[in-house]
Amino acid sequence: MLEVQGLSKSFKDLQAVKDVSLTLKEGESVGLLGPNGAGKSTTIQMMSTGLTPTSGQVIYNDKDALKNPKQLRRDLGVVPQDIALYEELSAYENLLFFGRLYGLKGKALKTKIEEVLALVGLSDRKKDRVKNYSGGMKRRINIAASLLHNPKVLIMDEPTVGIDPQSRSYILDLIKQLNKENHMTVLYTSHYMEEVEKLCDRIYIMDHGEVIASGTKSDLQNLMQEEETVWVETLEKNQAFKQALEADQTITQVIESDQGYKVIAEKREDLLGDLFDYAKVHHVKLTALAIQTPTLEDVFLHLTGRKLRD
Amino acid sequence: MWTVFMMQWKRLLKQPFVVLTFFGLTLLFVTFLGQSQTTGKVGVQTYTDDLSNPAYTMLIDELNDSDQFEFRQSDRTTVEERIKNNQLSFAVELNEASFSFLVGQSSFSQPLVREYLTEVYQEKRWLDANDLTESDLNNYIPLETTSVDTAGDSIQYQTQVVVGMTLYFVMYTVLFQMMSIAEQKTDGTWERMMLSPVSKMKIFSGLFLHYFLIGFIQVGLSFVIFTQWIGFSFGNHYGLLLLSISLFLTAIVALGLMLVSLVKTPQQLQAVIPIVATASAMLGGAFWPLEFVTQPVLLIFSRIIPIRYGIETLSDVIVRGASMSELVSGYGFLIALTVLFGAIGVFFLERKQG
Repeated sequence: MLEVQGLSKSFKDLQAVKDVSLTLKEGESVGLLGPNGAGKSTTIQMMSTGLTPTSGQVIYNDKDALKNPKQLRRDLGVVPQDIALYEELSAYENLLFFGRLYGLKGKALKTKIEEVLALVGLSDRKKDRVKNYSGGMKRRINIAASLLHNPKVLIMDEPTVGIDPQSRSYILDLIKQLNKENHMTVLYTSHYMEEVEKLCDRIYIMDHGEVIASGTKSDLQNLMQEEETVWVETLEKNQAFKQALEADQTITQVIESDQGYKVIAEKREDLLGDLFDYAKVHHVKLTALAIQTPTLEDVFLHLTGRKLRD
Repeated sequence: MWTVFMMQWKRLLKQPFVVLTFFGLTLLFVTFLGQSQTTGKVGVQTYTDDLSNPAYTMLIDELNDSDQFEFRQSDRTTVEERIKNNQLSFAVELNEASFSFLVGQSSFSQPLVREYLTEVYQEKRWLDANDLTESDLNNYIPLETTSVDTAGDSIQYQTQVVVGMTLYFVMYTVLFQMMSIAEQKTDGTWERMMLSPVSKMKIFSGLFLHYFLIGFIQVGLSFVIFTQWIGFSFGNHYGLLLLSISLFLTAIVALGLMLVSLVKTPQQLQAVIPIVATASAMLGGAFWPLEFVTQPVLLIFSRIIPIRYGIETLSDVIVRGASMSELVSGYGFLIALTVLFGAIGVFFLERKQG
């Protein structure tokens, strides 16, 4: 349905996106996961024809969307990372304007506005100025403005940044509904791996402008099939203990957390026994030891050696 | 185009502060400066020890034929007291055949008064010597030449003030309103518009027309109010007046587009606008006649400043009733600047998009 091939973008000396290729099939929900500055926003700006790539192609329904962007623009809903609304106007006035830009008018426009307002749960606040909304409400209207023209493809650039957990949960459920019930194709970018895990059928992981891995969640977890993640919870931190763990040839990562250490190591039968031994030698009191299924966070860590939110 | 156009008006009506402020400032400055010129005679206190009351009054009446000065009768004691108290810079003692100054502190108008009185007294002496009256004098000296020049200067000055200040403040209004484009580029609404199926041409046209109309309404209303308040006459060449205003405003909107395209943030634009507007007004003749600018480099700069051609063409229409053929050159420059600024603006906006 929508595909980018060999997409690159340079800004003076900075190469923001390097040879990125990705595909969106009709009705699927695809995640673009990566830390801040990974090149996600630049990639989706190019995908939505808002930014011309230095090289590469954007293909929509087998046609070059960079040369003929009109059809893609008609079928595309973009939810920008910023609150792209006129805050001095009411939600209703904003929706009237953005609806008209897509050729909606009259009764059809008003009906559609009521529909999207109900969808985002803001029908009763539609006459309020956007500047008087909470962060979560702004985010919801930001999404509503992208849904007025019944887009076939919805591209969302970190739509839950900086909002409370309740609004975040509302938005995630809404996206799931749009994808599963309304069969809208969704490209969802985030640096929150749990959101991508919850929403997306397939995932692309980006770092430093490149796609470093892609596939379903289990495909990505399989990248770590030779390794396992162990949570080592301790009563107190111990530097010598940490150094001992790092010195172990089979342990690839040791990440300090509030409760203790997260250890990523090669799979082997005596790993837990060794961890007990290290604790005993360095007089560390263990409070818990748990083997965990690898998360996307672990996959990212495995691939880059860094945490997603570093 | 109309969707974008109407939206911008809706936004303006919610936040009309900038437009109203600059409109108010235009009225304030023009009214103040315009009226100060039209009724601004320099007052001169006089006294006499020599002349009789009727002769003193007659002489004062004669002196008050001047467009520049208003001579007032007083007495020595009063003026001495006022000079002592720094309430007066100088006063003039008028005698039958001469005059003298009683000076407390120097004043820029004293030499002008001296020059004027010298002329009047020389004329009186010449008339007395030849046993002539003032009415005889008109047969010899074409006095009206001087008076016509002075009136011409006054109209020229007032036009300079009315047109210069109006165009200066409307530049501010339009450019500050165009900051909204820079804000939209930052907050994402610009991108949202650009990603819609509406063509860029229609979006730019809607915005262009909106900013043009804001300026046009401000200039139009200002001119109507000046006609009523200070009795300023704009002549009767309304077509050319409208054309001059329109071409000037088109160039200003194009200039705004260029500035928006060259800055990265609304804050940068906020800093740039006063510099551009004030420098333009100084070099383009809004604050003083362009004849005062003598530096060749500055004169070259003034050639790429729309306000120069706006003032020139409007002044020519108002003062001289200039015809279309006489204004072609100024209009040509305004159109050329519109194309230049507009092309740079669109080029850089597009390049950033790319």
